[in-house]
Amino acid sequence: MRPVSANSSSGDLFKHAVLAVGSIFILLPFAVMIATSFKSPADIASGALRLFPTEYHGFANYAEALSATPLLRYMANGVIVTASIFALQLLVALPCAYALAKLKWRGRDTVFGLILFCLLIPPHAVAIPVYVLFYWLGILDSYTSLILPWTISVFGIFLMRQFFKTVPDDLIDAARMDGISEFGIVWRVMLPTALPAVTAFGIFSIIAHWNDYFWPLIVLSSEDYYTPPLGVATFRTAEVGYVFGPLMAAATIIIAPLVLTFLLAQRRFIEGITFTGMK
Amino acid sequence: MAEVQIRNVSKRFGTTTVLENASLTISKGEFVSLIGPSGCGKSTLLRIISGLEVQDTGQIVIGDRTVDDLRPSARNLAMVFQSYALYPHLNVASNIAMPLRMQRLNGFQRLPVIGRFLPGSATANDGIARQVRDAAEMLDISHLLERKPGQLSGGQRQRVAVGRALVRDPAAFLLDEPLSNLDAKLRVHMRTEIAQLHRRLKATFIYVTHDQVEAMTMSDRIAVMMDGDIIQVGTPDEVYDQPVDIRVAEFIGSPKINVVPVDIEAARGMAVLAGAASGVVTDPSAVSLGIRPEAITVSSSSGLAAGIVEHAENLGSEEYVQVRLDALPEIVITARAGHGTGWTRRIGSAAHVSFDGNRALAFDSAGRRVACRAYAPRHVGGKAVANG
Repeated sequence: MRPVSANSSSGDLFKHAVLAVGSIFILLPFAVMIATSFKSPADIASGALRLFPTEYHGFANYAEALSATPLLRYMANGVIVTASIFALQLLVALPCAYALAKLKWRGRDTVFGLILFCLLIPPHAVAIPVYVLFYWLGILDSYTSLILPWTISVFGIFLMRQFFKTVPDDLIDAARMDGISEFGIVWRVMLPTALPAVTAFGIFSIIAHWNDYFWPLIVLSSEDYYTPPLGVATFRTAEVGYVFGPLMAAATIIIAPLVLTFLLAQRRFIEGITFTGMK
Repeated sequence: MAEVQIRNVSKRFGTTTVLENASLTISKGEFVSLIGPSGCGKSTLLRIISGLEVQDTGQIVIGDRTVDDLRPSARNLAMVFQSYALYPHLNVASNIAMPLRMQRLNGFQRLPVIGRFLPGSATANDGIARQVRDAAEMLDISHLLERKPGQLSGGQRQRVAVGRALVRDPAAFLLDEPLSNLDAKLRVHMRTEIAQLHRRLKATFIYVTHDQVEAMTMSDRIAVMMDGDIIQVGTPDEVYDQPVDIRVAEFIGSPKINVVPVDIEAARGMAVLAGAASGVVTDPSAVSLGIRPEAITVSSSSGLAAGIVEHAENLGSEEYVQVRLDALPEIVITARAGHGTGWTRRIGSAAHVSFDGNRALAFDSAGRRVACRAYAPRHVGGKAVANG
């Protein structure tokens, strides 16, 4: 027994060491960002590698971040846009995924193949045609222009379809016997059953669109609709020049909701996984 | 509850025919099992009755109404599934209440929170809650009403599934192999419970199973299905003692019926088994005899055919002895011997088998049953005839 346990503990040590190095690599920029947000301009300009500020300047940086630009407004825009995108994506993806996974119809596999094909089209490739289309529709520079292109998430349809495939047919038949309509089955049976997958998809979707810089930059011209990444960008070019302290404070503020969402979703995710009752 | 009629139902999936012109009438309050090997179409037939599958031709009539155009929920049938199919996110009470909520509340009344305050929903909800409690009490699951299906054992989930079927007071209960996910002991217990439930409710039950013991023990009548055909419908005794077809004879009964090839002696119509007159007179078209293990006597001293004891199983109450015949080495005969006969200690020794001619069944080359009877009442027993 002894050599085995010694082996496995040294193996564990190795695994943890690798993970620790990896996590340092990933977390270090964040640590630097947060540390910088508390430092004074002199501290930052000194160029020394220090985690803790010599002089606490946090309040001033955060106050500056919140007052120099309407950061809260940008964040509210971000919430409106990402929440609408995710809600509409679910509204489209769940019925589609249900039809693709559980209903029998002619051409289903072809349609699914086309959907998979759409996964290959990068959004940047169609950005210009969509821009022109929105120009003709006259909806540039609006919430609609930020939300509409993302409402159909091919990835979401694919992910939900794969999950729905694992839901037993008997459950759907039982729902039909009980008198639940097909749409009712999607929302009242499949959605609660697929909560872990919905959560996973939500994490992807919210992070992608909260952090999206490319599309808002193209369609927006008025600052009223700016999303957080654009807001931070305006910060850098504001008349004060490069002020890293407030800039990092702003970056910390706009990342905070993502971190919070993720932590909350993570708990839900684990709950979701223990959510079995079929087998 | 109501009568259920299946009229000339056919169903094809692509090029495979799953059901071919199946007809069956299940009377009001009757317990009928659809039994057959997997792929025989029994589950498809049940799904067609329920409306989950649509037949290509033929009709389903429930009571006096043709229901072919009705959605599953509108047929007022309840179904219990093999995997129980409980809603994993709802607790037991909500699972049982679901069909009633769908029947009695409209879309707005079913909304969470607000729905409760809409006119009429309070009375309806009270009625539903009462019925759920009654059903739970009947099935002895009252203490589980707040739990989620994931927190229940297989037997408890089974009861919840039955409860969900029970509350809607259906025209008929459809059960699709409801016991096959349970362990052996629980299966025997639930068998009794379902049979008792049927007696108490006096409702029409249609029960699909591949387990002939379940079908034999619970049913008023059994419909044996093979390759998309209902080949025999009858009481358990009829199906067991008077099978119309060799496939029925082989499927029903455990251990399986013994089938031995025979030649027919032209003069008397006597079936000749391995060179010895069997004592059974059959129709000239017969090619084989089927004899149940309990109609066979195995003896160490004398009998119709000699062989070697190849294996013996002691079940406590009885023993099953397998004898490989000397004259037909490809045939192993299974015989039932009494309690404490000790054949397990005599594996490898010589034995003789004989059988009760009155209980033999004869089959022709197509597997259909043909007439047969024990020969001449003056010569009782196979051995006397064989010697004479």
